Amino acid sequence: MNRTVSSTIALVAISILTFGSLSPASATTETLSPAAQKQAQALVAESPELTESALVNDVEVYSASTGVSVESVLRQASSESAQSIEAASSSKKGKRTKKIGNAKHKGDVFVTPAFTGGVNHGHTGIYSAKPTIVEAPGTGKKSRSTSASSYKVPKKSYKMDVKTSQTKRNKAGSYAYNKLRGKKYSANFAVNKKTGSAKMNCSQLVWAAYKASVKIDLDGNGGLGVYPYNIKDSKHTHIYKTIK
Amino acid sequence: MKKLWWLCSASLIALLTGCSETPEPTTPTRDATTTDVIAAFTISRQQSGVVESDGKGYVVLVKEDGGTSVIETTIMQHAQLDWNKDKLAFSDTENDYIVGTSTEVIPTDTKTDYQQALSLSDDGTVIGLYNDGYEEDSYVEQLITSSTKGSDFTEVEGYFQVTGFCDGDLYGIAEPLGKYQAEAERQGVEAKEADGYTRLMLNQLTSGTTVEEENVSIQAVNSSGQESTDAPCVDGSLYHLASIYADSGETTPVLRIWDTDSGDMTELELVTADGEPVTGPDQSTFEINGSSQQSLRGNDFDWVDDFGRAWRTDITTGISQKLFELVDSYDNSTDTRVVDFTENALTVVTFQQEAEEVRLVQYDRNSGEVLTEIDLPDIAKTIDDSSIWAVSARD
Repeated sequence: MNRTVSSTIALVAISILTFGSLSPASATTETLSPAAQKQAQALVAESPELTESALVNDVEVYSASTGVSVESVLRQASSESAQSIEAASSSKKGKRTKKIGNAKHKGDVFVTPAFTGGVNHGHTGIYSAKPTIVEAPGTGKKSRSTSASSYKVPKKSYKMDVKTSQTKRNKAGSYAYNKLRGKKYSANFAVNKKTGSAKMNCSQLVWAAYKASVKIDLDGNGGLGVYPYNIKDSKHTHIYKTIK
Repeated sequence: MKKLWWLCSASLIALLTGCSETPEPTTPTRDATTTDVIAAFTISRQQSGVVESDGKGYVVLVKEDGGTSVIETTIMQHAQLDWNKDKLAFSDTENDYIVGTSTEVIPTDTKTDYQQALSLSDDGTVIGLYNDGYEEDSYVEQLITSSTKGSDFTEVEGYFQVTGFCDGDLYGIAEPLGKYQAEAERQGVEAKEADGYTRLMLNQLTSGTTVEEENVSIQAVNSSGQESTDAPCVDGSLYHLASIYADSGETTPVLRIWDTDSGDMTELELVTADGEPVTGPDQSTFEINGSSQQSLRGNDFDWVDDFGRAWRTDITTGISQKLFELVDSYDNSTDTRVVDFTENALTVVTFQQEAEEVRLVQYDRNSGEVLTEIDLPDIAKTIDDSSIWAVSARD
C-alpha cells in the first residue's frame, strides 16, 4: 500500500486556509501533537459535515481496537483523504445534466463527482436491480432506493461492474438491499471500513455490500477509509460506461 | 456560502453573484391562481450524494397565452401535481398547496424530499406519498393527508414504484420487504429469478382520505422495472407498463393489470399488429417514457416511449400501434420529458439541456396534431441542473 504523503499535504494546507472556520481544538484533540491536531483539522475541513469530535471519537475507537496509535491513524487517514481528493481532481464541479440510466447488471456500481464545501470526494451507489439505485444520499437522510432512469449526474461519472460472477454481484446487490438498512448517514470517510456500523456513508455502503456478502474489497488503495474514487480505481471494478 | 439573488423583470434573465450561477425564475409568487392556466409542471434538484443545494423547487403554471406564474417551494424530487376541476394541488417538504382562485398553503409535518404520489380529492384533501428509505427491517414511505382541517402523517411499508388511485383509494405496487417479505414466504410465492424485482405486492394504502394499509396480493414476476406515479385505474383494475429485463440485455415492454379486489395480475407483452415485439428504433433497447391517469380510455392504453413516439395498446391483446411522433428534439441521455394525457390531448413538457429550451406542446392524442406550442425561455435559463419531474394538464 502506498502511503506516500506528497504534495497533497500542500493541498490539505490549502484546504485549511480555503475552508476557513475550523472548530478550535476540542478537549479530545488537546492531547495530540500539533501535527496530529492539524491533520484532524484538515480531515474535518475536507469533510465539511464531519465534526472534530466525531472524527476523533472514531479514530480513538479504531486505535483502541487495533493498537495503532491515534496519531498514526490520523496520519494515515489524512494521507488517504488527500489521495481521494487527488483522485477526484480531474473531475470539475459540474451540473448534473446527464442521466445515469439503468445498469447492465444487478450489483453494478456508479461513481460521480460530488462536492461539499468545495471538496470533491465523489458519490457512489449500488444497483440493487437494473433500474434501481440504493444509495446513502447524505446527512439526515436514510439510505434509500431511487429510480435510475431519472437520476442525473455530472460529466465524468462512471458506471462499473465488479469483476466477478453475476451470482456474486447479485448477492452484493441483494445485501445492500436487505442488510444495509436503517443506516443513518456518517460523514466520516476517514475511518469507515466497517461492515457492521450503525452509520454509513455512500462508499462505505457500497464497499460493505461486496465485502460482507462475497468478501471482495473494493477499496482500491487499502487503508482505513474507502472513498468513492477508491472504488472507481479498484482493480476489482471495470468501467463500462463513462458519462461524458 | 451565501448566494446573492438579483431579481429582474420578466423579460430579463435574473443574474446572480456568489458561488451559485443559477438565476431565479420569473419572479416567484405565493399568490397564483389557476385562471387561464392550461398546465403546470414541477422543477427541483434531485437530492443525492453529499451535495450542496439551494433548497428550492418551483411549480410553473402555464397560461394559454404563454404567460407563467411561478410558485417557489422547497426541494421535492419527483414532485407531482393533480388537478381537481379548477384546483391544482402540489407539495413540498413543509406544505401542501392548493391553487384555485387564490393560493392556499397548508402546513404539514416535515416530509422527506422525494414524492411517489399525489391526489387532490373532491373534498379538498391532499393525499401524498413520499419515499423516505430503509429502516431496520423494512422500507418506509410517508403518507400525508392534509386539508384546511389539518394534516395527518403515517408511515407505510414499501418502496412503491407504481401508484394509482382507484375510486379515490390509493394503491401501490412494490417489492415485498419487511413483514410483507415474511408474508410472501408464508404464501409460498417464490421469486422467479434471483436478479432484480421478482416478486411484487399490491397494497391498498388509503380508503378514501383515510390511511388504511392492507396487502391485496403478492405475485411472482419476471425481473423487471416499473415506474408510474399516476397509474390509471378503471373498474377496480390498475394498469401500468413495465420493462422485463433479459440476461441478454434486451428489454421487453409489457402491460400489467392488477385486479384490486382479487389481487390477480395479468401480464401482456406489447407487440405490433404483426406479432413482433415492440422495440426501440433500429431494434435498440426499449424504454418507456410515460403514461398517466387518463392514459386509459375504453380498451386503449396510450403512452409515450423514450424515443418520442406515442403509442396505443389494446389492453385485451397487448397489440400496440404507433400513433404519431412528437415534434420535440430530445436526447434521452440528457433531456427531460414529462407527459400527461387528458380526455382529448397529450401534454408534453420537454427540457433540452444543451439548447436550454423548455417547451410545452399539446397534441391531439389521436391524430398527433399540434394544438398548442409554447416556448418558455425564462424558465429554461433557470433550470440549471434541476429536473422537470411532472406535468399535469387541465381537462
